[in-house]
Amino acid sequence: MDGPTVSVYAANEITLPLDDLFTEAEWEDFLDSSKQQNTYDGKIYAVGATESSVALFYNADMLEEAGIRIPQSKEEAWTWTEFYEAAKKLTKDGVVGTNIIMDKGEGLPYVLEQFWISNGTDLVSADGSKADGYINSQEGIEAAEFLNSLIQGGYANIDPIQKEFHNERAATMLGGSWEVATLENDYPDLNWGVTYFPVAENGIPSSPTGDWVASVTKNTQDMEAAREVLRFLLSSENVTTYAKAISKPPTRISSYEVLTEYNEYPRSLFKEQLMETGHPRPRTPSYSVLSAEFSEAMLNIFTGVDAKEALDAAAAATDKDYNKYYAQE
Amino acid sequence: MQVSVDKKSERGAAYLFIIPAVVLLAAFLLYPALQTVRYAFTDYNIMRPDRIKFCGLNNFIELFQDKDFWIAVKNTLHFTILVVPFQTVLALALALLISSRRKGVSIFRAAYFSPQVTSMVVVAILWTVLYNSNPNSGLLNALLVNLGMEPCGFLNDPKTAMNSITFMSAWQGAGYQMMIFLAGLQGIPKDQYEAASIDGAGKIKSFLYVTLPGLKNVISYVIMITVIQAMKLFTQPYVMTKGGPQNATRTLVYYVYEQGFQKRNFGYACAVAAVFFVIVISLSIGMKKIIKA
Repeated sequence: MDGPTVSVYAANEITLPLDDLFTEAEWEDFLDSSKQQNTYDGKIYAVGATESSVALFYNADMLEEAGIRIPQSKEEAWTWTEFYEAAKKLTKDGVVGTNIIMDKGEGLPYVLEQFWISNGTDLVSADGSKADGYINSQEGIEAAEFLNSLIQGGYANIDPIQKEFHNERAATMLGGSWEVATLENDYPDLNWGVTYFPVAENGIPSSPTGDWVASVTKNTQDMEAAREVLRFLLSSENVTTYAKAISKPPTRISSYEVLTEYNEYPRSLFKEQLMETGHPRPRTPSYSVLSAEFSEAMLNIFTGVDAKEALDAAAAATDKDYNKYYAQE
Repeated sequence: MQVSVDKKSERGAAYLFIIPAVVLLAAFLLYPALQTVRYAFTDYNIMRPDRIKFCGLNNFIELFQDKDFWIAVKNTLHFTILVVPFQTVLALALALLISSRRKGVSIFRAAYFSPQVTSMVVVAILWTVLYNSNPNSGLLNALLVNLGMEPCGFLNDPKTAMNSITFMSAWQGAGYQMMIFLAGLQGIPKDQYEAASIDGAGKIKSFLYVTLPGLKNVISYVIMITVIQAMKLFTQPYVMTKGGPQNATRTLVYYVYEQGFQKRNFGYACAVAAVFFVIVISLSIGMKKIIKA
């Protein structure tokens, strides 16, 4: 299952806790972001072999020509103001300053939740039970209005073409770790770079994480056999091999000692983000509703709806779902 | 005596032939429909199949108070009321155009019918690209800007989204209705046209007084099936706009899908589906009565 849905299955008692799958020492080898993603109500319900991260890709030629500074360390990451100013400066001659993911689906909460976190709030409460006061908090409205300012100013397209950044029609892009392989293999002539995910003014550095994971369902006939299979699949050696084969960052810290490519730029940046600023999506049983409502709210805001109104509606729908099915427990 | 024996074995053979179709219909149409009605009275959440409770008319009471449900009804009717006349007139016009026996007409027949042959999903994706709101990326907007007009938001503007879907749906579906009209046109006896021209009727008069009456049954059939198909609009909003922007393209079937599979409110979705069925049946019966009159 996809990472953020772990809580949905766990809360509906479809999957079983896996805390005793590994010893405490063995769990230490897994990235915090991955363990956090797979934890609901204090117990771990899933394990994954790979992770993901999102960072700011940029067209090096365009940025140099515009004289825009490139952050050299995590502390120098662009603030929202710098991001806005850069996007504005880079929007010219049929090129937009940045590309925001517009897949009308899971991509929006995946990438954009971090703007809420960076500004000091989140989409729901920590225990996943309440959206009102979080997604539509003052900080949340500010995040939404910031993103909308990029669209309204014309610095990002509401209807981007496929591979806008790759085709040099966008100067920057909030892109996933998987884009590195795509750019290296299919666009060798593009002079690109990647830097840290933007941070709110005086905000918390935060970056997206999340990937597919495996769980055990309650219908399992032989829990011992299932555990053995999972322990084998998620062994240090197999995680390393698998992560290398599909070009995704591994979840095991020991794998990074073997996959030395993650010590070099650009992959080192994703590794740094994963280990230091990575923040998984909300752990809530109402995630499917939250995700769809968030995407819809953002698209409504981008087409002119007031941010507070749109986010209030999203909060109300999410809370309605939680209260209807999960509140009494 | 011999006649009745033959009739009996004929009837037996007839039953044998229709049994597979009946079984399939019962299994894939009747049974799910009955289950839908059953679940409409429960609080079924598909993540919890073991915790289904009967909850009476709660779902129906909720849906009549649900703003989004009524918006879906309005959007679906908006689409149906626009697309049926537009598509029917377009199909009839195309059929008249290619009903002549001139050389090369079969190329046009194939061309007008070809959108119908393509999967609606593919057509929808294609038109999403055509409708791109940026004049640098969208063909239609590039054309508008070149003609000196303002670019149109098309699918990104709540005011034009549904109309954009309407236009593209009519374009895709007209081919099918055109074929039906063609068959209907060929069924009008030639001597009626001759009689009309002898009486001094021009092209327009003969169309109004020979063609249209001759096509009366075909037209009512085409309108009926187009209305029913239009009420079921789902693929286009699902592929192109996901019900947005600002609820502008959220149709009833899309609402059912969203409630049932995305929000897991299966019981509620079944209630909406049941109400939808009643709406469509009432429309069909109502239209039949109007046509008979």
